[in-house]
Parts: sequence; C-alpha cells; structure tokens
Amino acid sequence: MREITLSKAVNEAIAEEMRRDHTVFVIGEDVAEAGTPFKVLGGLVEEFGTDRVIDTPIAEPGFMGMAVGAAMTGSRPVVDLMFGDFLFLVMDQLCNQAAKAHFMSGGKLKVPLVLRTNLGATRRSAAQHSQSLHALVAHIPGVKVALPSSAYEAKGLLKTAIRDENPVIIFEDKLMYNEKAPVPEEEYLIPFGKSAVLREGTDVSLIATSSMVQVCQSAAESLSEDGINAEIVDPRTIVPLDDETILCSVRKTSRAIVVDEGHQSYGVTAEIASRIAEKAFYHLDAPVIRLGAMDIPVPFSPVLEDLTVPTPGKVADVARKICRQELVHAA
Amino acid sequence: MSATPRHNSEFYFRVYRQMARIRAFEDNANKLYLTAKMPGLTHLYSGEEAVAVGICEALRVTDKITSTHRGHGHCIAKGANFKHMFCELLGKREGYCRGKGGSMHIADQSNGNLGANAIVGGSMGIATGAALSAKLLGTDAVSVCFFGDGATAQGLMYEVMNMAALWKLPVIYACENNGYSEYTQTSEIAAGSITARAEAFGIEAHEVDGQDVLAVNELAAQLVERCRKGEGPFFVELLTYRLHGHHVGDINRDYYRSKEEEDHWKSERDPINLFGNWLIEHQIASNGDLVEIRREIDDNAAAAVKYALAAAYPDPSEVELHLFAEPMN
Amino acid sequence: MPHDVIMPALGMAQDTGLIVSWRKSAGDQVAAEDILFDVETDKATMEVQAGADGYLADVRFDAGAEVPVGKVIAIIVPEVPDSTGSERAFMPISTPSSVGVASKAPQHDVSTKIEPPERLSETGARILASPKAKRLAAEEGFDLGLLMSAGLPQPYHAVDLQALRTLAAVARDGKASDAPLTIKSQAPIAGLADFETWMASEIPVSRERIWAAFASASLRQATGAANILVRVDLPTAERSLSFRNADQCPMSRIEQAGADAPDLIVRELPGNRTADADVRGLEGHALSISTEGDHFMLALMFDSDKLDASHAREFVDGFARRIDNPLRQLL
Repeated sequence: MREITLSKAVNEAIAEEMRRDHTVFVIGEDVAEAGTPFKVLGGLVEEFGTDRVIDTPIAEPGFMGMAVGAAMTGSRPVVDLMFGDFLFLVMDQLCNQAAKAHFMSGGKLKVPLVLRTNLGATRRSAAQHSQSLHALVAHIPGVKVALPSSAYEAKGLLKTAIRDENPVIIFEDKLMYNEKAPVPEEEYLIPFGKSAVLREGTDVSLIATSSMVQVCQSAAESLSEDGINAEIVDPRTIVPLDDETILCSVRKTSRAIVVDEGHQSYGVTAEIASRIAEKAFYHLDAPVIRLGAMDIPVPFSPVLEDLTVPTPGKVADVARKICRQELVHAA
Repeated sequence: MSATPRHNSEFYFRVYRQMARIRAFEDNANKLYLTAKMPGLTHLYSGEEAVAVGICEALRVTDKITSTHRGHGHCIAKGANFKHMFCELLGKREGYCRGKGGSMHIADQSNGNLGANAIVGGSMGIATGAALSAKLLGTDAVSVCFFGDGATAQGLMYEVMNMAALWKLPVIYACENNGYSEYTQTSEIAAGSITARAEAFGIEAHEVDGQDVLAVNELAAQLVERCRKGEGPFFVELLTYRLHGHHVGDINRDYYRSKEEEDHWKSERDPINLFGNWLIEHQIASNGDLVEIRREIDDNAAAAVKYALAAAYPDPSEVELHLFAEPMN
Repeated sequence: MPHDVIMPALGMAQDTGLIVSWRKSAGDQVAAEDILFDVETDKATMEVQAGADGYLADVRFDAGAEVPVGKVIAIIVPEVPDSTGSERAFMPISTPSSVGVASKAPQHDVSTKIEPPERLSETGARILASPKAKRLAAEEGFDLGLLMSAGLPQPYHAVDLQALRTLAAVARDGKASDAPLTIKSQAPIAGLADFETWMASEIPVSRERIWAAFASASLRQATGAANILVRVDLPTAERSLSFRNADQCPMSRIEQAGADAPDLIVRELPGNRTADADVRGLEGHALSISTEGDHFMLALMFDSDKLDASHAREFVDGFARRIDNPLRQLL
C-alpha cells in the first residue's frame, strides 16, 4: 500500500469531500494560498477557488461563529483553527452555540461543522502553542471529538467528521504532520465510537489516544522483551467513547494504563480510568494508572519541555511495575 | 408617522395585528409569571413591537433572523403561532423546542428563525454565517441579526462586521437601542456613536425611530432588497423602549430610570397606539375595527394559554433526545 | 526523605546476597550505626549497618531471601510510620501455626454481587488486595487474612491466589492438600459396651463384625454407594477380615468376603495410641478407632479426590452415633 503523510491524508480527505459535496467549504486563517502554516491545505484553493477556501482575518470567534450560522443554513464548513490553544478564543461559539443548537431547538436546527485543530507539545513552541485541549471540549455535551493517531486514521476520521450532522472537533497531532503511514487509494471512512485494538496482549492494556499511540507502541516493544505482553487500544473518538472495547481489554488483562497528552488532572485519562474502575472493578488486579501531560504550562526549554509528556520509557516503567505487583503509588 | 399610505389595507391590518399579537403574548406571559404558572423568568418585548414587525414584514420566510433573550417579538413577527409558543414558555412537549429552550431560546425555525440567543451578542456570528452560506450556496436569502445596545460592547460584533463588509454579505445588523443595557443606561456603556461603529468598517448605517413601524418597514424593505442585490451589509440603529423592566422580576426600577420617563413612553410613544392612530387618521381602520382586532387576538391568546397549561410535559425519556443529530440517510 | 536500605555488594563477583537474619523488625527505631541485618555472600557472613537514623519500614525481603545486589530491601523513614495502612511493612507477621480455620465464604454470582465486605485482620488492620484478588478469593471461599497471617507482603494480587489455596488447605486440614485429609470425632464407650453385653446374652457377635456393619451402614448412608467392602484390622489379631455389605444382614450372619481392595479400612488401635497413622499408600480410606478415657476416638483419613469431604464428615458422624446408640443400627 502507498504511504502518505498525515498532512497529505488530511488534504485528501477534505478535497474528496469537497468534490463530493458542494456545500463543504474551508474557512480559517491562511488556509488558501498559504495552505496553513503546517502546509496541510496546499492546493485546495487552486482546485476549489477562494469562495470555498476562505482566508479570514485573525478573528477566531468571528469565523467560528460564522461557521455555526453557515452550518445551520445548509453549508458544511470545515473550520481551520491554526493552533489548539486558540480554542479558548472560540469557546462561546463552539460550546454555547454550536454544541447546544440542536438540543435547545428541540432537534430543529443542525450544526454540521468540523473544527480542525491540533494538539501536542515538544515543538519548542512554549505555553500558548503547545497545549492538548481535547478534554476541555469533550466535557461539553453536543460536540464530538476525534483524535486520529496516524495518517490512516486522520483521513478516515476526517471524512466521517465532514459527513456527520453535528459539530465535530478533530485534533491532529502537529508533530505527526510529516509522518507517513499506509493509506489506501480507495475511499474509506472510519466510524466514530469504535475503538481500534492496535496490538493484542494479555498482561496490561495501554489505552492511548492520538500522539500517545506511538508512544505506547514503542513501550509495548520494549515490554515484550521482558515477556510482558501489552495490548494497545486506541479509542479514536473520545466523544462518542467506545468504552466496551476498552473494558473487554481490561477484563482480559486485569491491568490498565491510560495515556493521553492532555493535562493529567481532570482529563481524558481520568474519564477513561474512572469508567474502567466503575465498570471493570472486579477484574482489576492493579490500580488503573493515568499518564498525561504534567499539570503545568508547557515550558519552552527543550530540557524542561521533554519532561512534561509521557514517553515510551515512562509507560514501560509503569507497566513493568504493575505487571510485577510492584507499587506505583503507596498502597 | 408622516408617511402617506403606500400599501393596500390588508398589509396595514396585518402589521397592526402582528404588533397587537406581540403585546397580547407578552401580557399573558407576564400574567403567567405573576401567577407562578411559568417556570423561570422572561424578558418582555412590549414597547418594541414596531422593530420586529417593521423588519420581519420586509422579509420572506426563507430569509433568516437571529434573535435574543428578549425574543418573543421576533418569533411572532417571523410567523410563529401562539399555541406552540406558550407551550414552549411553559416547558411543554408541544413547544417549538419541545420544552428544551424556554423563553430565552424560543424560535420557530421553520420560518427562518435561527434561534433566540441568551448570550448577549452571541448570535452575531450565526447571522453573518447564514449570510455567508446564502452567498456561497447562491440563495438570495438575507439575514437579519437582532441585538440590543448592550451587545455593541461585545468584540464578536466587530470581528463579524469586518468580515461581512470585506465579503459584502447580505446581512442587516439591527440594533434595538432601548436605552438600557440591562439595568444601566446605554450612555454609560457605549462611548461615541453606535452607528459610527459600523461606518468604521465602511458599512452603511442608518438610525430610525423604532416606534414608527412604517418608517422601520420602509427602511428595512429598501435594505433587504439592496442586500439581495449584493449591496450588503447594512447596520440599523432602532431607537425604542421596553415598557417593562429588564425581565419580569425587575419591578423596582427607580434606581436606573424614572416613573415619569416610563409614563411618557407609555402614553406618547407606544408603537401600537401610534400606528392605530395613524390607521384611523388615514381612514384605513376605525377605532371599532382595532378594538375588534385586539379582542379577537386576546381570545386567541387566552385559548392558547389554556391549551398550553393543559398540554403535556415532555416524557422523561426525551431528556437526552436531540443531543446529537442523526445521519440524514 | 526516606533512606533506602540496599543489598550491599560485598564480594568481588557477587550478584546476590542472602539475608541471614534481620536484627530489627519493621517499625523499630534504628540509629545509623545499628546492625540492621546479616548478609551471607560467597565469602562470609557480614553485619550491615542501618546507615540512617529513623524507623525501619517496608521490609521487602524476609530472612532467607536471596536478593540481587543494589536492590532496595527496606527503607528507613524519619517519622514513626502509620501502622494502620500506608506502609506495607506494618502488618503483623505470624507463623502459619497460628492460622485459624478458614471459614467457607458464601458463594456469589459474580455478575450481580456487590463488593465483598472489607476483610479485617485479627488485629483490625485493613487487608490490602486488588479487586480481582478479592473477587477470586471470595468466589473460592478463601480468607485473604491467611496470606497476611502467613507474613506474605501486601497488597495481594491474583497471582497470590495459589499461595492462598495452599494456606487454606493447611488451615482446614492441618496438611497441605495433596496429603490425605483427616476428620476426627469421638463417642462414649458405654453405649457399645452395654450393647455388646446384651448381644452376648442373645447371639454373641464379634467386634470386627460390629465395626464392619456400622462402617458399611454409615458409608452407604453418606455416599449412597450400592456395594461396600470393608476390611477390619484388629489390634489383638495379626489378621484382617473383609466383609461385603455387612449392614444388609443380621450381624450374626455376616460372612467374610475375599480380600479385594476395600472401600474402607477400619483399624482398632490398641490402648490410647494416636490415630494419626499415615495411611498414604493404602487403597481406600481408613477409620482409626482408639480409646481415650471413656470415649472411643475416631479419625477418618481419606483421599479427598475419592471421597467428598462432606460425605466423609457425614460418615464419621454416622459411625459415632451408632457407637453411642447401637440399637439404632439394629432397628
């Protein structure tokens, strides 16, 4: 199978959907000729013109709000939010408007929009361009949240997002834009709410999202050298969350480590860990462990920044401990 | 009210009836609140009827509006019926929003109302986006964004007016300046001129007497047509007055506005009286005609209230209904 | 800051050290220069000092353990540790001889049961175990307190269930489960003596036929077996007599049978010799009868693979009641 970058996969997904459906348009800062700072959208404006690939002023709440109104009236906007950190700017339009319109109107209004943005630290971009804020929006009922973990996932999930009748926020790992993965030439969709078991194992379940899937894959390799057989589950979408696949895995392995790049406190790891604790309690032979980003703003200095996110070493270390009945925290 | 009659009498009767319907709805809403039959609070539109009716009478069903927390008037003016509105007000299953919206989100979406927004200034992006959508999809729909003077303090307005002006979007920003931003005089919260804000973006801005339904309608009709021709966006400041407080519970208002001022607007500047007098003056309707119209509306309203009070609440099984929209296919 | 006590490297090519003995116990106050433990290397046995002032805590290896050098074997903490929970070292350590008899916990349906009630040790300390270990222990009817009483370090995991099974068998039977199990009972001699006196005046019956009849009847009642061969070994005679279905005819007419493999051996032991003779290697089960004061002492040693424990208990009980009131046997 051919291999393409995540960036190219996103570009293909949008182009294919724009060809298929004339109501789909792209809106955001520097999305047209510039093709975004990450060069994800290059070539779209040439094919679809400036009417459908719309450069905006630097006014995130403004174009986010306009996307909501456009979505309510027959269009399917794909909003480009240059950095995940700018979510804070669009929170009212996203959470008070887009997320609630369908429910609050008794099902009469629909807001089929996609907000594409990114997550991920270690790009040396400091605290306002490095955050992973998906938990923040996943907390708000009425939006769906997708977290692709590879080029393949990015394309399939984005196409599904564009066809969804609801607001969908899709977070791409900005460190993965240039990473290649096998992506079929033929069209495919990845349904929401279906976790992927990326590696089967018997000793510990590593539940990992987005950027952390790769981290867990390399942790699993090193664990296998010690005879520890890790299973990796990628939820793909955290809203809706397919917890059944996660629970099945944990019932099998009796141990779970949840790894996500959002801040550890009050985050995705906490949500998944508590579902495991609630629904698979009697199958647990070790405490469910959360591994998220440290609860600090992301520091600039590489030496400091690299400490803030889970690494394969950290994941493997914790996995070894719980598989050997050692304590991670005091008993 | 200087305009000479230019429409047929059917049009004028409809305008009068729509304004009277808003007043009757609000009087009943107030009564429901005072008799503790209505959950929550409500913000009454009484006194501002000429704004909603004057503008909405210039719109088609396919044109879009966005409304505010003081939205009953927009809802009625854009074509909603009493029965489903009172049901919504009381949180009943047959309400326009199945009881999930209530007073602050009441909207008849089938008539192009994109929702009443309880975030002040929250709908400006939506109205502008609907105009963008109309332009992209090639429909000739025009959007009207209703908002109050208080919302001019929100930054979103400036972001979307900028883009609307850049892209010549068919949207009309209708600022209902009723003189008060909740419990504060507008002069205390808005520096400079309201219309100058739009003019800074090169948007043509107008100021109009919001108590004169014919003046409002005439201006709106012109601007809507020009929007359809791609000459938008426009900005209109409508000078008006709310006869009640900020909401039904805002009874003691002496600290921010005088009884004399309220009495003056009630006796001299009530838009329904002004228009009724104009109809009599131009011999389009007799006082008896107008009394009869109001009596008929009152009966309709009373029947709708009675219906809504007896109507069923949503089934508890609906509590999670419509969290997400289902796929179309 | 806790001070780690590590297994020191004392020899040249030493990989491990054997802890010969601990001079201090968990919870003891120690001074840096106190001798903490003795270590045996390939060269010699050496005394090792504590190295820090404080309290010994978290003793991770018992005397007798072979520990890799450099590994933390205990810690010394500055404050008196909380004895109720957080420090794993502070549980009472006792020998298996003080183990109480395991009580059979009620069986639960896993899908509907609530969490097993929290177990407390004899000293009232909470037993720390994984939910899975607790569930498995409850399902099998074992008390996790046995692990604690045996001095195994907490918290317990599913892997500790094997040890628990062994300990539970010891607690129940006094032997590991692969040894024959023993059930003991007693009955007054007077009842049988009166009976024998009365029988002697009618038709004299030998003691071995009485035992055979009682044993056959009791075993049949307990197990429902159709065909029962009982061998009786008498202390006074160097011989064994076998009887088939001795309960199904009048005692005076009980005939000897061939020396096939018996279902049960009844051995009357001279005087007050203990009945704890090893029956390993015998075919079938063995009921030993001895006297102590005015009572017969009964001990059934049986193979739990061939005779259900409850049947065994019922057999011994039936046998004892027949001695107490032999007329029941005749009626």
